[in-house]
Amino acid sequence: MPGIYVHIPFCRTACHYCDFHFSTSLQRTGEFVTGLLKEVQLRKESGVWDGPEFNTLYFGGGTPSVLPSEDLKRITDAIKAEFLPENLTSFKETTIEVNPEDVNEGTLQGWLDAGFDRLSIGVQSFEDSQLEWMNRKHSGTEAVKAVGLAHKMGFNKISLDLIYGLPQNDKEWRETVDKALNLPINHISCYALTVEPKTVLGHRVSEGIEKVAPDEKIEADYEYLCSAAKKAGFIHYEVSNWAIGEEGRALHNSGYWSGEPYVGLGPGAHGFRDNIRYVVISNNPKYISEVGRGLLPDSSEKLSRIDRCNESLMTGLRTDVGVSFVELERLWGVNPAVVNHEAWKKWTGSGGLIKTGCKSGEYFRIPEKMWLIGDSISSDFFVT
Amino acid sequence: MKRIRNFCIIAHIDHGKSTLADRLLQETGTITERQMQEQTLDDMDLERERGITIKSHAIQMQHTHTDGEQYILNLIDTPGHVDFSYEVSRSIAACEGALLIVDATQGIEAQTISNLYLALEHDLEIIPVLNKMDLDSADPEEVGDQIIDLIGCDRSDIIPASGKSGLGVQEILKAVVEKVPAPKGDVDAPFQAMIFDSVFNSFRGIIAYFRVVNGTVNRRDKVKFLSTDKEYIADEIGVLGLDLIPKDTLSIGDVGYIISGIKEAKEVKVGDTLTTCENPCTEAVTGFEDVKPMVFAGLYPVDTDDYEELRFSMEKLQLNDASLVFEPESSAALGFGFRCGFLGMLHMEIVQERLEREFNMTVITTVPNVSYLAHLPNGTQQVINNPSDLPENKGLIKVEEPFIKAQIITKSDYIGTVMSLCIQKRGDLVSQIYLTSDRVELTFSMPLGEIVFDFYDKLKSISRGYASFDYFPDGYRESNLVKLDIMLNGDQVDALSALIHRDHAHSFGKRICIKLKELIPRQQFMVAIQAAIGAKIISRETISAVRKDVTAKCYGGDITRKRKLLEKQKKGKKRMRQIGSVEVPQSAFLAILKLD
Repeated sequence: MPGIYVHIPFCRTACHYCDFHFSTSLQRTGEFVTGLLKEVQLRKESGVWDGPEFNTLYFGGGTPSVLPSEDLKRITDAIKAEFLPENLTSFKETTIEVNPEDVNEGTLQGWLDAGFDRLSIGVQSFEDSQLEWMNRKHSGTEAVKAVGLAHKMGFNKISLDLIYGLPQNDKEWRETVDKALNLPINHISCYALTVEPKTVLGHRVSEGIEKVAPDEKIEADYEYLCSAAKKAGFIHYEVSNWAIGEEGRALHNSGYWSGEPYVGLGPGAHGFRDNIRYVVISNNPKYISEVGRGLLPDSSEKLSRIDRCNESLMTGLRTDVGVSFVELERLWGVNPAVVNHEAWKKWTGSGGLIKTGCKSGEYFRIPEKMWLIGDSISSDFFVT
Repeated sequence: MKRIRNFCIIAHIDHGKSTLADRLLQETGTITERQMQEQTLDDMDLERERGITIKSHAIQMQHTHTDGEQYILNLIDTPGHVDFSYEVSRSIAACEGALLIVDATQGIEAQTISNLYLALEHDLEIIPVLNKMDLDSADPEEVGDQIIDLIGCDRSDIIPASGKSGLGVQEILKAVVEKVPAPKGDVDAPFQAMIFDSVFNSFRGIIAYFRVVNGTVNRRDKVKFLSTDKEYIADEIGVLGLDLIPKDTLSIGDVGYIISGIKEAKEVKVGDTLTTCENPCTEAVTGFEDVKPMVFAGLYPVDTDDYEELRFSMEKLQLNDASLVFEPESSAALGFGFRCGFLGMLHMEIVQERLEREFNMTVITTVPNVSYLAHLPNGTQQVINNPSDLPENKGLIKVEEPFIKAQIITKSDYIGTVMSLCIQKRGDLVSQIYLTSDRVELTFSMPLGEIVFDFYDKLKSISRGYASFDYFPDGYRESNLVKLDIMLNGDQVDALSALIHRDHAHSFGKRICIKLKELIPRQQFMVAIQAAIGAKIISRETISAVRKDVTAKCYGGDITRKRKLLEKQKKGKKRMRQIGSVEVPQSAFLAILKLD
């Protein structure tokens, strides 16, 4: 379903692996909030978003939890006033990404008051040495406490972020997974450590100071997580996402994967509608000044039918829903399985692509055990 | 004809031939500053990029000498690479004089010497020129000594010059007029001319360049080539300025062109004799040879569906490259393609690059090889241009391979390393001559097949670029050769088979497996690379499987970036060839040339 994404481009410190847009200078958060409220108006007035019924709201970053709760509430209120469908009193899902060190009774209450009903907590690991290696500012114990407190205060939709493929031994990873699965959460997002250029980690790897984990280690970590999560009752519904029950699935993120429109607000945020995807300028001062002058500082790209077909295929094959090639053909006029007949033979033959149990059509997915090589499989089906 | 001078330039690559030629054109007003592109004579992009003249060209200059008379100076440009030595010899045969251009900072190179000998054989008047005199590192004393030693001229005969500053250009023109003899010949004899080059023009067909030896030719005359006996009408004849300049008549000593509706380059053979049908000459101009390819390789389309398109492109290419020969062949690994013959390795690279640039055809080139001679039990001989065609051991009495005389000139500091390279390449030292106190000419007898692999690059690198190299065919000799096969996950890849001397086969097999491991990307399964002689595996390397390639995050802001990433991956895969289940990139098929 259509959603709204708000990017809060501030962090207290930079994690060594992160290449998202953020600033560690918190002096201009006030001006930023003013700018963001203005942007909400500008987007609404543009008329571009009059059609879709927005059901989800997501605050990501950066670290949204660095903003005072009152500011967060001003933003959610403004967005609701402009974009909440008339028949709803709140969005069906309102998520905020938070760091464990920001979680206390006061902030939790503030987030509830601002309308958030789902927390995505950046735990990453419960191992203090790992957290230090990543330049995280909380301990494993703090993270455990934060989850417990959030649950106690009334959040029953809690997701944890974890990272695997860290320079750690198998036992440490298993302990982190087991600890996470014992907490009162209904969702896990778990990512293999990705070395991005222009990050501290990227620099260290290119200098030879750090090494990336071998495929074998990543594979072993992934397999342990898959089996442990399954035992704990989680459904592995996207390459990097697990949920308890259908209702545990992240509604907002699922919208990205099924090609729903989304509004992007804040510097560095992406938005998408029909055949246009835009990105808001990734520069806080410029953002503030442009929006202040009544301008939307976007750069956008136009997507062709082929682009959209490839995107549907790519995101669809990352989920347990999979894709229907017939449906893709109906929507975009080209059937990737037909134009890539060799790939079709190769992957259906080797079990890289299997039929799902879906009754409403011929859906195909990549089975869990092959998801780790999902990029090879998807790109084989790309239409060029 | 008393006021015609025909001359060529003999120089090594990079010794500044083209730049100096441009200066001559400027000085004589043949081209204006505005028309001047760097290296005017090399008009293919590829040539300009590589800084070498692939096809020779000719140009006419008008020059007023100090005696007040107007002279016609025909400059015939020559290619500067071993692969094209026959073309050089024909250009030389069309002249009475030659500028010997030597880089004053580098000294004489092997190529220059062999071409100089050719020029001396044809009794050309040699005008020595020391080029790049503007550079600080110029050493006119030492390099001058080399020239004096070689051609026995006086030091005062050597013209100091610089293509860059224009130094010596006047002196060169003066020397050409005064020293190069005027053409000789019989005006009343039947028309006789030698073809020294041809080019393809997509509107006008083949334009053949020739030098008139005897008699005259007129526009609309009926003409023929002696080697093919094919007749044509001379639709247009003329001389070569910067553009074609039509004339009604051409006579002795003239360097000109003919357009006569010839469609394909192969109808016009360099070195052939052109005459009129009405009053034909009886004798051919001496020195005609059918140029034979020295190196063979398979060319295959990356996408099997493009076979017909590749044929079309090669036919087009052949229109202006008569030395390219090809015939269809098929490979178990690569499907349908062509076995092509090239003059040498550079020629092969050029063909591959031209296919890519001019026809947008990406091709896979198989391991190049030379032409072997298999002696069969029934007493017959079979020419083997493809290692896969070599009969099994039982069906063979012996195999012969072509040998060459390799001439290498190097600084004496590098004799040791050059020798060990040549010996490692199965070379036998024939002679060692000191040209000066620190320059040596080494002559080796070597198998041509060893040159094909990675000889030239190695020679350059071990001698820090100082050694130069030239070669001549030197007959066939029996060799103990074995067929080395490469297998990927058990499937033999015939395109990677090579004939190797038995003593080298093991180390060769090992090195090629290691190289292939570098060049073949990891796949979703393990890939075994094996080298085998017959049924015996002599080397093995393993490429481990990709176990993880999926990107971790794919949310709103990641989708565009990730789509572009996968598009790029897909594009990369399209340039690969599927062998069995293994995807092999284009570069891997030439791995054998890039061994360490």
